[in-house]
Amino acid sequence: MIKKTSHPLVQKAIEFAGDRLRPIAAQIDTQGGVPADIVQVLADEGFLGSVLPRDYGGGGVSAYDYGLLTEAIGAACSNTRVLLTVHTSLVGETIAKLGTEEQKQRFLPAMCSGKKIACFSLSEPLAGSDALSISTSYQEDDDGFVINGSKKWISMGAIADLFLVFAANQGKINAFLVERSAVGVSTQAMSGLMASRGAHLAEVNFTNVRVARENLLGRPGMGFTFVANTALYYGRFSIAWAGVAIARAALEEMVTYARTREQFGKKISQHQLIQALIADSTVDVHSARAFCENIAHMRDAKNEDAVMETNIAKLYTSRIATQVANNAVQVLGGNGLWQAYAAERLYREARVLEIIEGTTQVQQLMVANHALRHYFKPELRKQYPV
Amino acid sequence: MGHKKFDREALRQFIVKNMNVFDDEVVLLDDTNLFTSGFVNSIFAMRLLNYLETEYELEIPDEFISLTHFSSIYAMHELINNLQQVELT
Repeated sequence: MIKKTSHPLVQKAIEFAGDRLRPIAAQIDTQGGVPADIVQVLADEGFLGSVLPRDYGGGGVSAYDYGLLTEAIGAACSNTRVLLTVHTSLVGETIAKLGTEEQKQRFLPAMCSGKKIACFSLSEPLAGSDALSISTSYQEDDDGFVINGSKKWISMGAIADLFLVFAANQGKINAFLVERSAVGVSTQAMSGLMASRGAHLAEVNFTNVRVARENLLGRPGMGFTFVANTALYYGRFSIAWAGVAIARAALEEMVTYARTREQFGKKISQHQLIQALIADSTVDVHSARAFCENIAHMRDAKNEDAVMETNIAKLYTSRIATQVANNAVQVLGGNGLWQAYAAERLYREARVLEIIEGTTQVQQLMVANHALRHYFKPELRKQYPV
Repeated sequence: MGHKKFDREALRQFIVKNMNVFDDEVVLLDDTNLFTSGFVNSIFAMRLLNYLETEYELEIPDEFISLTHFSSIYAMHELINNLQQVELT
């Protein structure tokens, strides 16, 4: 389904995803999460560093190729795709964009090689969409900074070596690169989750964690304005493609099942109401991919509207993923509710995408603001009846 | 090859089309503070950063990425002028 691309890394990702990842996706979901050997393969094959600059050990692929790669991995295993979203997009691309030369040299090669796994530590027990209300704090002294507080819902937090942490002091938010080895950092894996069960979600605690001045990412007080917003832009790009990935995987599951299962003496794919679900899902997948290809091309062309279009795409494809996965469950019937079939997992994983990297409602606010200005045509008022 | 001349009107149009205010007549002057006026919120700052870097084909160094340098059309004009001069020297 993925188009041929000139970059060999994408083809390699497609093969790896199909041959090795998809067969173990259910196991990753139920038994302990993305295994270390898979993480290392992602690094060794160049997937983790794919979109990061060549100068720092990355592959320097285009946004378009990175999107295709994300789709390939995400269609096979959403939990594994999370690693690309947080490690590569949210943290890696942000360091590449806003880090000092010293920070890039210090962290990016280690991230590309998989020596350091990074995660994005913004959400807290009482601060989700209202990110400015974070209570994790920093104090500054002659030697640097001291961080105290707790983060929650941190994907890959349980296995991460590097945390991009946001902390506040009297309303000023800083972004820090904190290593797990720092005294006072502890993590506790989260359980009882509906989805992302294999994505090593954790609560992360910082108790009097001392951070050197050179680990401040971005300028003082600009942690949210520039760092978090830049990171979330990259994160939304990744999640938009993750939506295509889940929707496509769900479509493949429903079609394959429909052509296998018989009811009323014939394959259920021959029943027109099943075909309606398949047709709608196909349109959804194709439109979601068109959206994502567009934002990728805009990013590659450095089009300044790429940020807003990415918000729109993320809003759309995360919903599409839910919708198509829901259709897959419907086509599979009782089997769609059973862990033995992938549709059940895809339905749960799809639901996450409408919550992370800005909820659907946060996206709606931004998209509505954009539309209220972009589509406002005062001259139309002349046609209004007096 | 010379640097691209700063285009205040192009920047103004970019800001205006992304403003969060919906009054029909909004005046955006060169020295209007974009953030304290409420015309845009701070999230827009990273878009201004991308816009300037793309438009003027330069990388804004880390030490200049603070809200002050993006607070008005005038401030951004100053920023780009200064960076272009540094590149020339």
